[in-house]
Amino acid sequence: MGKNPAESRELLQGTLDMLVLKSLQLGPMHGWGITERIESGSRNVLELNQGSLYPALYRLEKQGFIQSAWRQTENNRRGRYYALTPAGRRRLAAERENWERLSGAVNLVLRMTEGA
Amino acid sequence: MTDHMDDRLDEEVRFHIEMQTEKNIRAGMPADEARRQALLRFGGRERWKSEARDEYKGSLFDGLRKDFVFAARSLRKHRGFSVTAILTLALGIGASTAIFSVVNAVLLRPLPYADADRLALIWGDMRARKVTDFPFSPGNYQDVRNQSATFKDIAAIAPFNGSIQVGGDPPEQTHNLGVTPNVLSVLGLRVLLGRDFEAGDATPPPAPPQAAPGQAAPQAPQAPPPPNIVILNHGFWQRRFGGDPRIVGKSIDMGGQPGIIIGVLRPGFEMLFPPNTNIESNPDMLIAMRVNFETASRLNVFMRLIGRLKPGVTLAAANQDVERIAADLKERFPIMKGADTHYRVELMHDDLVSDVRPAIFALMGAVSFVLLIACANVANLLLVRAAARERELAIRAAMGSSPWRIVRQLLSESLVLSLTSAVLALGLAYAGIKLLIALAPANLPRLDSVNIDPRVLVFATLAAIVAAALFGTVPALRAARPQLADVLRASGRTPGLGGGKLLRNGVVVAEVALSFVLLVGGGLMVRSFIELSRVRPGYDPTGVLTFQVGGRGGRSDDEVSGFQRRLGDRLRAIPGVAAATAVTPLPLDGTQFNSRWGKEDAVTDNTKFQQANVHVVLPGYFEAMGTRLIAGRTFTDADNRRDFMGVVIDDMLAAKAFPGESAVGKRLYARTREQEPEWLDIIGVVEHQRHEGLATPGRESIFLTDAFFGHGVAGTWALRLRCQPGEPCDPTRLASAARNVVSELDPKLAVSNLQPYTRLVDRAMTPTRFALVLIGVFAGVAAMLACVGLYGVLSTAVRQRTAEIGVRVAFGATRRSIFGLVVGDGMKLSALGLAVGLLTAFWLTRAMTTMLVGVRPTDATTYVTILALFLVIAVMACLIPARRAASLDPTNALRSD
Repeated sequence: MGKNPAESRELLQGTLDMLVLKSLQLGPMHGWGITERIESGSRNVLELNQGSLYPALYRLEKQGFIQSAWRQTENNRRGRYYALTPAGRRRLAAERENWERLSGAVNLVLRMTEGA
Repeated sequence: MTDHMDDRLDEEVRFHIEMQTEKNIRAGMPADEARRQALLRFGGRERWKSEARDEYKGSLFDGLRKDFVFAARSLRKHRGFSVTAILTLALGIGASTAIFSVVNAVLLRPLPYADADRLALIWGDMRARKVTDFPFSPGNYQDVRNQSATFKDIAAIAPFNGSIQVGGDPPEQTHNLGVTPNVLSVLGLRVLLGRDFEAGDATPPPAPPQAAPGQAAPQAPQAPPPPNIVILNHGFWQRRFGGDPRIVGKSIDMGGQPGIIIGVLRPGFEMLFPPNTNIESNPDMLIAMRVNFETASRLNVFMRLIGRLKPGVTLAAANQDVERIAADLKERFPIMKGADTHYRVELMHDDLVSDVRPAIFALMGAVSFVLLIACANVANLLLVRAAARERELAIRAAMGSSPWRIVRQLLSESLVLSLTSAVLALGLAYAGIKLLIALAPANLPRLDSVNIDPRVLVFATLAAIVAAALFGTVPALRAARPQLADVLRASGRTPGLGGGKLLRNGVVVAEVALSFVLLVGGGLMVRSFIELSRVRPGYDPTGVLTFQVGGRGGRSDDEVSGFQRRLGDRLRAIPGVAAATAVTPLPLDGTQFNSRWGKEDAVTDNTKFQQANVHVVLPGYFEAMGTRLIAGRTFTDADNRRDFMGVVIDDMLAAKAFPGESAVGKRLYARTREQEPEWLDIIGVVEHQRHEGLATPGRESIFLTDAFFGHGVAGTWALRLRCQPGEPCDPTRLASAARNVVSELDPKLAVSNLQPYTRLVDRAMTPTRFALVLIGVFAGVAAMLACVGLYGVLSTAVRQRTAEIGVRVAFGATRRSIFGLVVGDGMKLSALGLAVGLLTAFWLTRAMTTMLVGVRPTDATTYVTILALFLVIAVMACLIPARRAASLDPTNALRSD
């Protein structure tokens, strides 16, 4: 936990939801696997406070964007697997578009400053 | 469902950490380190779990539900604490709910009429004679009705007793209500069967003028009277006619006069009038009064007025309106001017409850104090418990539970406690209401409708929630902000007991103060009750049986007089009967019969008249009642004749009319049997009889013979049983003999209200007894709770100071001085509480003034007695903790911390 957890959590929240949805687009996965996907996908730039994943998962499930079920893992353990729902796919598309517009805009601003 | 959720979360987190640990091992870490790193990467497990749970639950409601389940589990674990707290609260909430149900039924629930808040009662006041709530004469009623601009309509009623005879059954006395035909439309009520009254139902008979109902009046022998037009009350229709659906149109025998039933009222009809009017709220039937408004005397007052105010009219405007009419009448009728007559409008509901409102408020206040004290005790329990749990809570806080979560958790526990208590309390209230109804005085209107309705349920729930807020908030807030480091560092077996000491002491001081106020209230009621029992009412009610004989024992005066003499002789012949007499009205029976009297100056100046009660008696009345003769003589049989102008007055009237001289032989100018006053000769002075009530002397009285009014007016018989001193004296064993005597003489006559006279005395004492019992019980409970609270605080203090006491003993303090130390602490708290209580009591007991008899709210004896009593209670509460402190073994005590 950082010095000001409330603030950092707020920064993360929306983004984390999007990243979770994105990582599940690759196929159903359990919680730990999702953190692995996000971390390796970001080439370990994003290092999650792993526990924070669970409130996000429960929230998304409650909202109907993902669903979950117990399943056997490759090495014969019981894991809770999460999968995107159709609503989750639409949500991911929308979030992604939003994110790209936003980051595009931020980039524009940054470039403008550079060019000046 | 929740448990399922928790299991799933636990398993997921375990799985996650295992996977991460394995990954770390694969990366080359030793197993221990791998797990440690995995846990570190995961972060505060409890916090994430609880957040995940919150996310999943989503709404606040779901979270609360979980809190409640958890709270219930935790309370079940600490059974002793929970049971104590729940019982204490149930007592407080239950008592409050029971009293509130009375407030609800009597003060809050609207009267059973359409738009009842527009209904108003109209009264006459004769200010020059200090008479209030006077009824109206037919003429005055008609003038008010016709001339008022603020009333939509005004109805008049007059209750009287009658009798009916159905088939071959013996005659039955009935409570009749004479009404004007518009009464149901004014009240906004409709009939169940048949039709409402019409103007034609009240057409007066052609010949002689109407006499006051209920009083025997000479009937016109020539023309047969027109039939009474009758609407039956629902209950009477059910009881007497078996709910016969074809009853409408049938005629009935009403004591020699025919009646025609034109309708039946809907169930629940009540004629609610203030208790001093003695109007039966549940009459057997309504009868259209056949009053000739043209010829009826303006001096014959018997009508009670109910009006429906026009929409938007204020009470002040209505009062102005009727006062204008009164002023006009005063100009037309000098006697009204002399009496300084005023008319007054009161909203019906306010007027009905004006007598009992102070008592109900006082009781509600008292019971709120009990609830507050119960809350204080539970708060103290919670504070001690929170102190004991401080370590647990501190650890939970360190594990990542937010302060808000802990507050929420503790408040949920409080709510679970108080809502459980509320359920139990409703049971208590239900039983309490039964008890209240049994105890309550007759002047509490609509008592039979006291019950647990939705509003009472809401009250109980709110009381529980407010109670939870009162006793739960402070302990919860304190517990949520533990000084983490301090608590965790403290290793003693009673960590944290030191904290909150000031708070706990404050709570106890408040408890002592509150219960002291209640005890003073109880003490004042005890004093009042003693005063009331000591009152000499002017008669000896013990061993007297009273009953009424309805109907006339003959047609002519001579026949009636003969019947009365025979009845008296036969009654006196019953074995064990010492005396038999008759009177109207019987003291304390609630009937009002008063008239004006004056001396020489009143003949020319009608402002000199004053008002006195009139009693019509048979010779032997004073002797039978045990009323002392003070001067002159009482009536003899020879005096019982129409032309005997002698009168007996009571000592109050004698002192008022002839201060400093003997009244015997003087004359009074009084209106009695005729419309105009007559000169009466005072033959005797007797001690004053309390008639209107026991608490105050009431009005002066004039006694006249039965024959003076026309035989048979004295209608309530009183039999005195011959009693041996020291033996039980129950006059009810004369009841069946008395009944037999009456029916042998005339089987057509109905005997009613057969009861020992002590019952009337008892009824007059009920309001005081009611308040005494309730306030007494509340005070007792409060004192007990305060005692427990004091004990609890001192016990905690002793436990917490064990080491200090050990040191003191080690340095040579005697057991006696340790004992004194603890008792001193307790007494200091009590003294502070008593000081606060004294001031509060001084200020609050003024509200009880109208409930007290012969004692002032600031009665010094009561205060000193209660103070002493409370000190004894306080010492008792201190004894056990003090003894425990004094018997501490210093070596053990020192080792304990």
